[in-house]
Amino acid sequence: MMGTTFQLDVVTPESLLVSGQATFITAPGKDGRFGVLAGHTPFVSLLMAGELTIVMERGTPEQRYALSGGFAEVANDRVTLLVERALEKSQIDLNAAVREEQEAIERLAQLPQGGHEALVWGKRRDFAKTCQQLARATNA
Amino acid sequence: MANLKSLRNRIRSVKNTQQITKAMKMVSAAKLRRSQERAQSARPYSQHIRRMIGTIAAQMDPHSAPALLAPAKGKRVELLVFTADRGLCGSFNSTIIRSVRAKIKSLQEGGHTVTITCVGRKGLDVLKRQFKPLIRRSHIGMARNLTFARVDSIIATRVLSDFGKGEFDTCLMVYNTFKSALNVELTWKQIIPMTVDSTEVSRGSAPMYEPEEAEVLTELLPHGVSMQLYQAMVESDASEQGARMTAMDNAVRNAGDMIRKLGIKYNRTRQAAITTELMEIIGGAESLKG
Repeated sequence: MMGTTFQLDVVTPESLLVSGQATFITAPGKDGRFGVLAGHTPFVSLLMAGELTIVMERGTPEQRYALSGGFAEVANDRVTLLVERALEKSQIDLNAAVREEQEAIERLAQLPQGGHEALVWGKRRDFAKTCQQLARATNA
Repeated sequence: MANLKSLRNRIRSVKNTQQITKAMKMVSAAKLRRSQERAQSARPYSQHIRRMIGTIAAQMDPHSAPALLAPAKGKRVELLVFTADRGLCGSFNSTIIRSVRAKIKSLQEGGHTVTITCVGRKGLDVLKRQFKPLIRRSHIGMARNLTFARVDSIIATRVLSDFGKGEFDTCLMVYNTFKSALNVELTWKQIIPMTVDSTEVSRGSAPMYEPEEAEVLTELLPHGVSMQLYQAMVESDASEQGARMTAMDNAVRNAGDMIRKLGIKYNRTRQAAITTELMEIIGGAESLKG
């Protein structure tokens, strides 16, 4: 029988943020949001900045995270999200996020398009924006 | 024979030095704990990303591989040298520099053109004496406020754009890997083109890609390079703190030995002076009697 949970790891360069058995997640894929349940077919996807929701055990409330872009790998009931940055909803500092977005926009205005550096600052801007949206969202 | 006053001064100055080294040891011990944690928490991410890249690379035709994975076309080698910004950390910087010198020599003998990028002031200071024309860039002060975002936007950006412009064909980096406070390991690693360790490849059916494989790779590969650079940076930083702590611990102990020896010498000298004085007094008294 197929299990109803899968091993979920959310990893950032600075920490192993989440590691445990999860029932259901939704994540912001580049081609649209996707959800994963146990037994999902193997795939690799790019992640955009956006919201990640995790239901660890059936019936428990979902956890909400702001993600910067990254990569998702689903293989053999093991889901690994490699993201540059991630913050749990309650940990977001709204003011810092506003400031960061501002700084990133200013930097981007001075940078040539398409370079790696522009890419980096673009990601920071998107992450800051996601943080703001999530911090302002009421718990549904 | 050294006089008492100068001995007293020496003892005082060695004690002061000991105080300073003791303080530096405590500071490094505190920093070490943070740096060590950072180095260890970076490991899962870099393992995962190497495995992902490995899995994709293993299923790919090497001829159609993107530049970061394709075999090097020329003989221009870029060396990335990770050292500390400060000294007083034992042989931490000198082992790296010695190894870099040997590497440059063997590469040049093999007909390669070498360029260097220094991360850390100490490496730059020494290498620019000997290899000034080879130095392409240097990054100083990275260890302060060390985050992935900074390594990505400062070091990785330059490496990737230089490679993109075709300024070198292969990029090697050298740094100290943190094992424990007493033990670091000199590590050479090739980051461009990326090397894939076959033991890190997860087997199984080919996954689906979303969006297409090529697009995933164009994001994944530069990111993999950035991550390796970050990993090297945090490992090097943790090793530096460990090396400094050990070096300072030795210095405190040496100062202790020195103080003890000087103390004995001081006491002997004092005793000798007293004896001489007594002899003089006795001699004086004797001559009065006679």
